[in-house]
Amino acid sequence: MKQNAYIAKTDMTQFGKCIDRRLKNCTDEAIIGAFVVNAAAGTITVTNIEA
Amino acid sequence: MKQNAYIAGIGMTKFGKHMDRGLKSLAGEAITAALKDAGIDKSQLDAAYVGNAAAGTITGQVCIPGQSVLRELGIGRIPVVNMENACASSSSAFVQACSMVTAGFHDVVLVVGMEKLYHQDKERIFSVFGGCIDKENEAGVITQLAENAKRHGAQVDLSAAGGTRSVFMDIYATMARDYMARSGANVEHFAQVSVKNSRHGSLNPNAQFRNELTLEEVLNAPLIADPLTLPMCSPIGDGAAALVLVSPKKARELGLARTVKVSSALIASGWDYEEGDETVAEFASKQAYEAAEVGPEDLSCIELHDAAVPAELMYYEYLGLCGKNEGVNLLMAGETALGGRIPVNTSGGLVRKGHPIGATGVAQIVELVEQLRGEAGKRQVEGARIGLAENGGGYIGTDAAAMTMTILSK
Repeated sequence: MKQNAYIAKTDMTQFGKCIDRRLKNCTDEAIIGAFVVNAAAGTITVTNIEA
Repeated sequence: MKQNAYIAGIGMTKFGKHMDRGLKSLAGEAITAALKDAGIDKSQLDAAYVGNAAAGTITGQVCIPGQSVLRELGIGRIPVVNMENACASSSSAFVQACSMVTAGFHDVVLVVGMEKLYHQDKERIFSVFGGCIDKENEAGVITQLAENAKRHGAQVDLSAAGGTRSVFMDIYATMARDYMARSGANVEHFAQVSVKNSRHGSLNPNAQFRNELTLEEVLNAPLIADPLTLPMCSPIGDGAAALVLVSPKKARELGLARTVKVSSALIASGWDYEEGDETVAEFASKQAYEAAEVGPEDLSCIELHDAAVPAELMYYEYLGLCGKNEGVNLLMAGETALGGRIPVNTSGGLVRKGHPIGATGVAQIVELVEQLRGEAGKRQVEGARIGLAENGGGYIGTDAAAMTMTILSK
């Protein structure tokens, strides 16, 4: 299936045994890191997310 | 979200207690019926979207429920997407499938909602509902319920919430008490919703409950969570529903004459409300009306999420059928009953047709399609042209976590 979309930024947590962390904690780290706040690339924050 | 897809075929099982049947059997019946109704062979399918919420808890099928069921029917190769959004799982699958057809990626898509909730172990059943809230804030939810009961002077044993009854009936009870305080509604009004929907459900061969109820029967039934009695609450149930979506091009190619158009379909999520905010249902319905270029005054019939009957009165208001706190007037004027201006839950709604949670969203669409085709038999809304379905899923904060809104037109 041909696609036409762009990846603006990525982030992730370290994978492993995170007994002291929950889904919200791990996911928040990855999500916040994935937002683009960069003069050249533009700014994408939670208010820009459509889905 | 504006959509451009057509529903070519529908099928569903009778909802109820099917202890001797598994997901494959239930979903297989609904899928086979939907394909036959559409006149489409399984080899023509481009994709399948499958909604299910509880298989992981009830049957142990934590992952790939869709592939497991479809492989049994000889459906493979194509993309199969599993969707979980609590009680809005299959309507969410439907929205995604519509979007893929509208975007031009697929021409023929199968959408399935399936659920088994009955199990010998009642705690296991109710743990499904307990999993439809934010588990990290479970204590906060119980505190919220207790504070509401205290504020309204209600006698509630919250130790039973989630153990011997669904925590959602306690959540709906808090909404009911707040609604009574702000609108003047009373428990008899809630009972009247159950009576109306029992009349509708008695005309639906696929409904879990076919008996008509009197006001006295509803009021004198066992109390589940003050002020809700048993027939004011949706039951545990098993069942499946399926439909076949086609693109406009494919509908023309195949010469399909009984299609129903999906004008708009969208998913919204709740947020932390601030003073003066609209509800997620108001937010989602406004978008759905705008995308379909219709208003509440244009609707012929509605299927909405009456998991407990007070919600039906609230949704009258959130969907714009009447003004704030006027839901009771609309009900008591008979406007939302069959024969009224805007019949609501002609299927019997969740309280009478049943609520196998992952199947509910597609089943609501099945009812609207029957109405718009003029094939609803004794519960037919005369001249039905436009229908709306509202389906809520889960609970976070003070409202639904997920909500879908769909508008179909003839």
